Amino acid sequence: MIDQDEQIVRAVQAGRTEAFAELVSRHKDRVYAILLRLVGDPDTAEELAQEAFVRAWRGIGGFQGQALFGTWLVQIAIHLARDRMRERRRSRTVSLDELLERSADDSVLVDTRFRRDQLSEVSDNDMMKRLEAALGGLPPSYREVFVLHHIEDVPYEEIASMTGDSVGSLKVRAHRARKLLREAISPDAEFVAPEDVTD
Amino acid sequence: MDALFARYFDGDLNDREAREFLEAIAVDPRLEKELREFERVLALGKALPFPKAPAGFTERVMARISLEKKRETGPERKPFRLPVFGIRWAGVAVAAAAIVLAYIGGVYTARNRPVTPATTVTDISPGFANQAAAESGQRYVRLAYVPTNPSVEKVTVVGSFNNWDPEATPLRRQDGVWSTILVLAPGNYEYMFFENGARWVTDPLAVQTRDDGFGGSNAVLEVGT
Repeated sequence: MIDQDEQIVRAVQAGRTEAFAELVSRHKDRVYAILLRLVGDPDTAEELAQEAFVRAWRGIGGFQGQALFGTWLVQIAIHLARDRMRERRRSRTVSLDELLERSADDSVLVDTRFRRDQLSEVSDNDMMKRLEAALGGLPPSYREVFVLHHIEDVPYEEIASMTGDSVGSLKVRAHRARKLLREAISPDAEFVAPEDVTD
Repeated sequence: MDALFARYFDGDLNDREAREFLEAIAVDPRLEKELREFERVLALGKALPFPKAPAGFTERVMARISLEKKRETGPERKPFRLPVFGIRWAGVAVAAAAIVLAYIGGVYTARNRPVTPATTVTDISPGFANQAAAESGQRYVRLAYVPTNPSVEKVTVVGSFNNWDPEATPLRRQDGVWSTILVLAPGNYEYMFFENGARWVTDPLAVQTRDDGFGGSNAVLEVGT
């Protein structure tokens, strides 16, 4: 796939714009899936995924292959998602994301007890739904690293090169994400103390 | 212990640390349960359903790129070519048709003005058209299109005269025919019809077309003096 990507990129750079459709077909599901998990709603995910591909097309003439095309594309998508989440935070008066993130930023207590199910036996399917809901409720920076590293298997070093964050910072966020998600799916996990969620 | 959990899941423990961590887990049921819960989080994360991009995604992206490329490159504009006179009309039996009507104005006073984006006029009488054209030095050009698919709900004409803006120039449907009247300065233009904001259609009756670089063709419209 990677070698073929390089060939297609070269074809597009040589002026065969229609070959770009092949790159879209090959990468659309992954880019869409990442964006859907980062922004939470399908319409926004598609809008941003389209924008990511259009921006990649605009910049493909200068793409020298320092990174894989797929990595470069995901990098564009991540920055679009970050921009959108920042816009949301500016425009919304109250949102769960904002409350969680503000709580994290301000070292205010984050109460995850509302997510706990008192049932001790819950099916994997139900647990998956709970995890997905909890993932959507994480602060965006935690959600981002969990999605990329633990779901998409992107190494920390690669995420760091895409986002400009340090590997250490990414690992801290990943651990906090794991703890909050564990809280969310565990019926009797300990309460998350404020110092544990401060980014 | 919290830091050890973090480093354990990131693979950052050395051999000695890993052995000590696992020994601690083995003798402490609370820690062992905590480890299992973390492992379950990661396993569930991996097992989450993989959403796929919606149907038609690639086509929509390529439509946007096609539009950008048209805007970016733009067609060559030749200000004075063969005039367009009369009517091109294929009759009701054709699946799709374009009609170009050019009204000859009187005395043109601004023949060499630069081409500006088209003014769209959808309700206009020929008499007024003649008078207006005479005063402005521009021509009135009627574009008409009959889609092969009768369920089409929106048609726009997108071309060099409106900077390839897909929303700028809607066609109006009447008796199954989508049409609009453009006010254009003399010159050479390229255009395509755009159905439902998703499908590009070359004017099927265009006398002249030009490769659009995407495997399709733009219709070429010549508006004479």
